[in-house]
Amino acid sequence: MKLFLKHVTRAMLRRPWRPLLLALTVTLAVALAMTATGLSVMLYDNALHNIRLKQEMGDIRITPRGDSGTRFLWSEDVENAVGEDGEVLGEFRLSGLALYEGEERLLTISALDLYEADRFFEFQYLAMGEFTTQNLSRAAIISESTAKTYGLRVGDILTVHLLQQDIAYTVQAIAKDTGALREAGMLISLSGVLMMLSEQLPVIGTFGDSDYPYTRLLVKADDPAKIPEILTRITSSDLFADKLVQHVDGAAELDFWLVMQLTVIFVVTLLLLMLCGVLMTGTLHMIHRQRAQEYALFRSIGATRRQIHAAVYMESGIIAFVGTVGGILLSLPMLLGVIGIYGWETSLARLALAALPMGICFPPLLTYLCTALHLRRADHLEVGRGEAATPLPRRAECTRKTVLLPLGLTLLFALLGILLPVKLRIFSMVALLFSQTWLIFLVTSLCLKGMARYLEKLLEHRDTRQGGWLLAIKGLHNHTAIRHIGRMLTVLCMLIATVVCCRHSLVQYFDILTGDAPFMMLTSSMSEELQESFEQDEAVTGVLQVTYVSGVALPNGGRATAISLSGDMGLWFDPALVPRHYPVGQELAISRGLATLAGVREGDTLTLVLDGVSHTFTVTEVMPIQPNFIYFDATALGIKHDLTCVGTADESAATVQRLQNMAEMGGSAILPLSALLGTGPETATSHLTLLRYALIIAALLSLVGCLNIVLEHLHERRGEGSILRLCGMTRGRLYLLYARELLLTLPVVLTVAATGTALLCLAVHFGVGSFGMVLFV
Amino acid sequence: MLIAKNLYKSYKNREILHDVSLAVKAGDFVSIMGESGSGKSTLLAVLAGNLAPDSGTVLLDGQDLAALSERDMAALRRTKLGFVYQSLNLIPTLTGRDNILLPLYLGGKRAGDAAEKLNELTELLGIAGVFDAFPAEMSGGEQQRVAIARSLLYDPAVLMLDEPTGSLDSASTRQVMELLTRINRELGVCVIQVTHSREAAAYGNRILTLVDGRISAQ
Repeated sequence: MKLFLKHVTRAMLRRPWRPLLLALTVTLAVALAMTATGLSVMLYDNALHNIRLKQEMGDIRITPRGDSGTRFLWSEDVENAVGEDGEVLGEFRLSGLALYEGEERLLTISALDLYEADRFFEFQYLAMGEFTTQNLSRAAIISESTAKTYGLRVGDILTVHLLQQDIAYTVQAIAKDTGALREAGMLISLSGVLMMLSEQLPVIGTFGDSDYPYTRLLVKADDPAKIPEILTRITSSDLFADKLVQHVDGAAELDFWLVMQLTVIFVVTLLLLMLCGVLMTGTLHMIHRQRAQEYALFRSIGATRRQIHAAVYMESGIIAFVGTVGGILLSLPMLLGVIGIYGWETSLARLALAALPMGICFPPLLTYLCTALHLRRADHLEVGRGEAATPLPRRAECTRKTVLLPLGLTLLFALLGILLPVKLRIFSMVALLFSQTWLIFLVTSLCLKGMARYLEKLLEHRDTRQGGWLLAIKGLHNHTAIRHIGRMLTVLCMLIATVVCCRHSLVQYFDILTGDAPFMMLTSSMSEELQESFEQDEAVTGVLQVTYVSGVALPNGGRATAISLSGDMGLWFDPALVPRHYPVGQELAISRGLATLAGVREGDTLTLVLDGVSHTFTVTEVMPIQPNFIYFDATALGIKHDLTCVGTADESAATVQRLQNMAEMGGSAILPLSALLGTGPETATSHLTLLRYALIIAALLSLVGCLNIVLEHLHERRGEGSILRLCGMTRGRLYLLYARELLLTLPVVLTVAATGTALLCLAVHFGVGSFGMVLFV
Repeated sequence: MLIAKNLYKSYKNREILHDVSLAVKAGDFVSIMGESGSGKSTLLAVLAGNLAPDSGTVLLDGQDLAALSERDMAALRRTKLGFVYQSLNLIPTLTGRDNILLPLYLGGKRAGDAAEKLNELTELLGIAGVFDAFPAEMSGGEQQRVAIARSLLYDPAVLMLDEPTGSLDSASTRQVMELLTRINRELGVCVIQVTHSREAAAYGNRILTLVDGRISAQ
């Protein structure tokens, strides 16, 4: 045992690159495994956090519907329905109406009766504000993100252009973006707003203290069990017949997004872990091949199998330990980086705790598993007959029979995907990804061998002078290690190419939505007069009215964005996204992904709930577009338009300012594109950044792994080199031989990898259909 | 034919060869003997041009091996010098036939160009049965005969063997040595072998003994 350990230590010191590269591979694998797991945990936590935040805003939410005759609500009506079973809070949201002086970004303000709001918000940030009667009308609580954006501190003065006048607010507190501050950047007292409003609109002054008009009402039940009963009482009232009364069931509302995000991350995590696994097993396989002879030698001098096993396991343990410690240390800044990308309030300790088991278990266990398998095989070797001496062609690593199992599984999972309901396809897709990768891994070897056999026969038959090529071909035919490098390269190329393709497709998808749109937008409060004046303005190239309903539930599960356009369609993000025949009346145009998810074709009917009202549509067009959009005719359904897009040929500051002034004079305001997209672009950028980092790490890991395998391979062939040199080969021609082997391998690697990438992309494309998404159009 | 003058070679401050000079004529069968560590294998490697001496010269047919470029040295190894080690002489991924034809492939010639020579060597060495076998499927004696066949493919002037029978049993040793004698006599190839076996050395017509890097007896 001592002797063996001494030998191992000396071998490590004499050729340190081998254990070092292996430890580096384990380090990167651990870091990748931990980061990927940490990210899954973080997304899960964030989703749960969102559910909680939504519930903080009350159990029931009442807002005007798209076709509501009046856009205001009175709390008294709801209080009568709720009775003693809960509390009612009225909120007056000034969304997109207030512009911070000197800034082009919008500030959404929420006005509440602050002293009544305590019960609704778990974080009790209102207590921090200390609003008093004296400062009530001029005090504000701002969210952390607002403070960060505008560089504000407590005590600073914030001038807001509100209700056609500049009003200075003093920042009383900076609170977390939760509760009401999740949807608004600034919180002010409703009483203060109403005092100002009453000056402009005397009718408001006639309302009693307890009967203000609100834009949204929130109900908090004393007992969650009473929520259905309260809900029934409110909806049965005629006063709310044209209002949207929603039970804020956070879990149900987020279910789809939670599953989608976690599944996507889960698949990416699994792919990355598979990459780690493939590299590590490949590296260990190459190293262990060389060691078999040593064990036989040690047995011949009296070492027992137990002693050899103990020493080999100890060696693996040392490498696994060093790699794991390095990986953990490396993963911490990576996890911090991920937290930074999303800016989420996730504790690093919580992340590390969740990710540590994966980091500690997966790569080291894989190292041990490979060692155990290797030792099991090495135990059967006779003394003096290591694997290097066995006739390689007779123990080919892959035959036609060995591909039958992965081929069968691939076909089975593909068939399952076709037969399963669309929303369950994601599961068959994950299994399909793995079986396909396994199949490609085996097939590459067969292809390389088949090609080498064909070329060998061809050259021998022709009896050519291409000795160098013939040697390279013979090496490829008979050398398992060359083919092993080939298949490793294939799988790595394929996995990286698939992730790159998916990323590219996602970038395209987000580019469509976040790219420069040829318009500015106005709020829904734009009057017909203002619209007319815009249409007549020389600088305006077109006006498009838009109704935007997000989160429309589909019959088979999944959500979509329903859009209604009216006017100059060319102003829409990308004219190619607009249906050929725009839907009229009860007609509907639907993206291909959503049509598949909903199980509808052209001519079928589809029932959707829009703004709380159920409508039955006839599908007139299935559009081959990437975004999961549904187009409908809002005017025919009596739903009012939310936004008006105004296109301008001249984007100079003077023109924009003139149009802004026109909008403000007409009681409206120009909104940036972000007002429509919400936090979508930021989230998309975060996801893509993360994907890019994952790709960089995977590429780095692949590089280290491949370098390790190639170095091992070259070392293994050192003896071969000296024989070739004795036979009259120069050093240069020896390198040329290796280059020729690589050149012969590359076309097969690239062809199989390209085919494999196409198959994997097809599987991903097939799987993401579960969310109504279309990755590759 | 092969002349070595005042060869010196050291390794890690240890002198391996000390002022070694020798001349080998065409048709000689030289056996170099000596204790382990006496410098026999180093001398053979220097004579074959596989190792550069610290000082001294090696001339093969009047050509100074040290003055040759790598390309010329490679060509020389292919055509004029045959070299066989004690073991691991063959490329494990090539069959017996391919191993024999290796110098031909490297010389950019067709397999057909050496068909006659291949038949001759096959008959001489009795290796027809291992043509399609891989090295791991051959016995030690067969591997050595294939390696010898490979080194004879180009009718070299000198065949050098480093312990050619070191890992063989007595029957195989006799077989290989008789073969080398036939090669020396029938083909006129000069044979230089390093051995510590007196029995094997006795096949040579000259025996050199090395002691601590010096030729002590001829």
